[in-house]
Amino acid sequence: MLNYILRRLILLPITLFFIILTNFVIINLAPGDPSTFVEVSATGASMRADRSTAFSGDERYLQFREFYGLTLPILYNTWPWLTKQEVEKNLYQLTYRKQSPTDTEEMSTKDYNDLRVQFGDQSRFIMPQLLSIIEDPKTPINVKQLATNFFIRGGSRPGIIGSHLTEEEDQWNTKISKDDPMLRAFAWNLEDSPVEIQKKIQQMNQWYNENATYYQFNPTLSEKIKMFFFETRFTRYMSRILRLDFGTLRNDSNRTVLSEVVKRFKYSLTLALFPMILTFVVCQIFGFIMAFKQKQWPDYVLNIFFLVLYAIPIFVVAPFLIEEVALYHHFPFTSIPIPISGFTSPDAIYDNQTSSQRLFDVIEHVALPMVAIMYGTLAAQARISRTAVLEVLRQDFVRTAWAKGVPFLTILFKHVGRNAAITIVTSIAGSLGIVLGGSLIVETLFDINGFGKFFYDAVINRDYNVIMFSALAGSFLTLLGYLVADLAYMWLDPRITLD
Amino acid sequence: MKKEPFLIYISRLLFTLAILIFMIMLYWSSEIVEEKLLTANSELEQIKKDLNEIKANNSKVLETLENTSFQPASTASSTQKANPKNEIAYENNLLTPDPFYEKTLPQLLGADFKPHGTRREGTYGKPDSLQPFSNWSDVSTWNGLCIPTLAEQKVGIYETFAPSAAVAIVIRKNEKGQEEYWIKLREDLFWSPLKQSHFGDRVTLGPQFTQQRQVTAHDFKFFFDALMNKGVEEMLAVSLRNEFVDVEEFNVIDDFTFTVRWKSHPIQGPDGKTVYKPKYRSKGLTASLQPLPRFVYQYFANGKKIVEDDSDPNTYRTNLIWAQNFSHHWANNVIVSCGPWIFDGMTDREIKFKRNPDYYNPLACLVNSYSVVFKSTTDGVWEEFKQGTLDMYVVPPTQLSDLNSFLKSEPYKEQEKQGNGIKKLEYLSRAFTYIGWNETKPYFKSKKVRQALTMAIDLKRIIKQNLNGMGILTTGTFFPLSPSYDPNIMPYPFDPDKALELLNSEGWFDSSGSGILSKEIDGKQVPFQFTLNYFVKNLNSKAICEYVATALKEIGIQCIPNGLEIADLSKIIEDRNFDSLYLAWILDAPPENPRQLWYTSGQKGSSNSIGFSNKAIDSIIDTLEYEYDEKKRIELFHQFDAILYDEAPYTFLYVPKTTLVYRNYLQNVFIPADHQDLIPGANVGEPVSSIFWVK
Repeated sequence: MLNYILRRLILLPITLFFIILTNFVIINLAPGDPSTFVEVSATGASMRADRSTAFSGDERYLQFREFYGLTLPILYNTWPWLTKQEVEKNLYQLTYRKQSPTDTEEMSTKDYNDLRVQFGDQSRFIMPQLLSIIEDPKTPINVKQLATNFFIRGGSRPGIIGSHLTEEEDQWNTKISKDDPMLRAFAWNLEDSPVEIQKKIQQMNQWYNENATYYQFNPTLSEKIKMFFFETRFTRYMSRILRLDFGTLRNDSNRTVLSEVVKRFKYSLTLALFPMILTFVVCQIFGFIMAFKQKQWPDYVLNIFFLVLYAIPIFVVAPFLIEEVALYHHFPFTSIPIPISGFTSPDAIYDNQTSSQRLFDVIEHVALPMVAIMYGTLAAQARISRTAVLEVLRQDFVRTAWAKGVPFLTILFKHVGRNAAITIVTSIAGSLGIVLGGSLIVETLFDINGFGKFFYDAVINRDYNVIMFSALAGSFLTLLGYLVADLAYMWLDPRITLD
Repeated sequence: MKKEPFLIYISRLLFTLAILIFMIMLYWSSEIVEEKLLTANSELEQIKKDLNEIKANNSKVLETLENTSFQPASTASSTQKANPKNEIAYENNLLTPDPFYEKTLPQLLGADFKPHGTRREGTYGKPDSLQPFSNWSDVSTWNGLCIPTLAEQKVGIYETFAPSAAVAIVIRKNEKGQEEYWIKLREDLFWSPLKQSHFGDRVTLGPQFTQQRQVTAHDFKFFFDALMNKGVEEMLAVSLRNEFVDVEEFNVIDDFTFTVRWKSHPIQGPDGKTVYKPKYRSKGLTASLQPLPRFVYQYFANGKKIVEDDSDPNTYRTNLIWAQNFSHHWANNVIVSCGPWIFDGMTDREIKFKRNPDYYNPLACLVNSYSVVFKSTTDGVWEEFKQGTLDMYVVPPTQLSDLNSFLKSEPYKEQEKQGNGIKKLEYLSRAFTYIGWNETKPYFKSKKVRQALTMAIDLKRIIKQNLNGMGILTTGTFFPLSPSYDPNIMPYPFDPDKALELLNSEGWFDSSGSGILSKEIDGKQVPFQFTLNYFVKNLNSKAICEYVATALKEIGIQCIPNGLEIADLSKIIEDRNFDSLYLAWILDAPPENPRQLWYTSGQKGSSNSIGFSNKAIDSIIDTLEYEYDEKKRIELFHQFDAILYDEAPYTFLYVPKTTLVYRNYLQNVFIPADHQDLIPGANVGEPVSSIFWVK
């Protein structure tokens, strides 16, 4: 068995690696940008007429994209191999907004923007090509000007953020802040005199020669190969994952993904694990009742009841619970009003409560959400449980036990219960990953700040770090769930061995 | 099975019971201790509060003593004192006191009034950060509560300037004869100290952040520098940078005086002579400058400077490393306050503010505390309001029937009995909803086609059926109650026959008999088919877009409504990669500047995503920039309206009416424009929340 577990544990990271790879590629290829400017309010989507919108182009959210490594190619980096001809072609397209000189149609804004952004990202790998185009007297002046802009873009590097920097990092920052204004000063306009332009080109050349080694503008073959593998989004991400650094939130780099997840853990754990355990117990009870009273009225009534329950969608039940059950009503036999939202009372009240009061406070608040989460699975699982129990009841060993005169309760728990549980365990263990998925609808409607809403918002906002973490942790938990289920089979059914 | 001897069974049972009882007792005693601790804690808090009060009183007494003995007042960071040479001649002050605060409000409140009570509101969604340049409109509003601008708008009247952080703004000429704004700041404005509790365990504050600091001219210069630093990429900064790019010089004279010089352009004066004037909006923009706390944003949390050597006056305007650290600053989740309100913490559930008792204008804030709860759905806010935990709520048109049934319900009658009735206030929102036709697409190039599309849609039906009557028709880009809006222009009539006629005249015919119009473009028959993009999560938008599709189908145009999530919607707008667009614009306060929306696209950050281009419009926008004469401005605006109406780049759908419901303990909820008796000349059509108080 140890052998089996070990084998499974070794397979785990390999499976995870491929899950990360697939997810990473899908997420990065999905359309959309991690930045939005439309506001959403009760009246719909709107924009402010007095504010400028995000402007497209190579400079767009440059700092932001550099910080999150979005300026690099996704899986492998061939940019250092771009030839001068390719660079010239791109520059031509960007200058004249046409695919080729023979093309009559203008490029669409989308294609143009995409090309501009991508070329901007490539520029730091093609500095020598750009410089030789700028210096080439045959290059048209407007292409030259554009090439200068991309030269400046390629020369600018992001600084290192934070207060605890090593001496090397400090030096890097000092160098960057010295180079940045210098680079910006290289920009020129078409109206400038040729002498002035020439002077700036010379300055660029000088700056390039001084810094080529420091910034690796002209990499050797081995450096290029290294860049091919390592200067990519995926390698950067993987190297962080291996250090268990899951990154920070898109909008707030002061909060790490992990800390945000931990913060929400108590909400989602309560709303996922407790209903799961409770469902397991309750569905067994109902399953037994229905199975033992098969084809009698308790079976019919419960069956119909669960069927109806199963058919009602959660987005109907949750608002019903809020509007009709909770609002202005009290818990039965008490004068405690039923709370309609939140996991606890407002902070001002909750902070001044003793631990027992807090416990009751939480129970009061989660009572309705628990019902909303549980009813569906309960209905489904109870029916599965009924079938499982019926199946076991028809087995020979049960009939033998009856015949032998084994007490009813022993048959119930030892012979039937344990065997019937196998089916339920399979269906429940596989859903361990759901703990992380949370329950979006319930969390949204009851205003509980759990995983469901957190991950959903991340997908909507294109918060790559959070999405990746959810995929990663979700798959990890699912894999773990299956392993636990396999072990549970063995424990529940001695006939199953894992060797 | 072997049976357990009875005695052992009993003794084991007893033992278990004993342990259980012991555990319960242990828990009970710990509970008692916990309760005592909590009481002690709250008492300690009270003592701390009292001590702070005593400290504040002491410092006031000290200040008075110092002033009476003619000693220089001490300031925390002051190095340069106000120089008498820089004294501003007050007679030309552009700022005049607001009579509402001087006379009307004290009369309304009565002599015995003391600020009290709490205001609670709800909002949809939670902002990611409180960054000073966040584009989230709520964050801008909250920053506005806590940080005053140089001048504030007088209550209820647009384009008026009353003293706020500045006591005076005057225009002076420098040695070269160029006009510049001289700004004199008030000396009794202080940054309130940061609180460790607002940061949690993430950040440990250095001692320098927990002291009160004076707001100085350097903080305003710092704000301006941060704004102009190209490394600061926050949306509001980018958009303000476009406006402030005309500022040529920003000079700090002393701690409380600074000058701003805007680029001057030659314009024809009334006597035919050429005069140099800064742009018309320069006054309002200068008045909108606000301070940015240097003592926070120039430092790391441990007290180390982000840029060690910042002796160059342009450091913060150019330094990239600082800009990057600013975008990821440790204090981005707090608002460093010096205004009428002090930021009092933000959790996942709410943001809190408390009244600043030391603020120079005691009437700037009439309640003791204010909190805004974050809800993940608008329904969530509505439920809370119904329960009576929120003071006010803006009812969307789709919820009006829900409101009416609530007002008839038993629980509401109970609330009313307890004095918690609901009052209603209706007013026009400064916004309009439109369908924008992307003019780069061949079928929307012709204005006749765009006019036809507008005529084919029954706008009155939309207002009646989709909005429950909560909207009015509009013909242009300005707010209907603004003087810039020409009321003589009538909306396009709903006339499908005329629409079809216009389309036929443009070469669109149903030549195939399929019921869909088509036209030969570049030798190919192109059917009139396009997508209409809208925000998928709003049910009303969806219903309206579906109606538009049905209405257009009637005249043979196939419009496919396409609901998009917010990120995708942003993306297509940015890339201008759409056929048509259903969206709303939130309008700014006067003076209107149509450049952002209507100037021929090309400038960075333009919102003219439909590719509208008209030379006459461009020329009017350019002229408006330097036109100071009110009459001429209005004439220009009306010309603008007429051209835009004719061009029909948008189908202007409606201006929504807002239904504000509020609990009747909330006072001073009125529309200034309707109360000329209180505010003569008022033209603001929305209630002013800063004058609300709680009965």
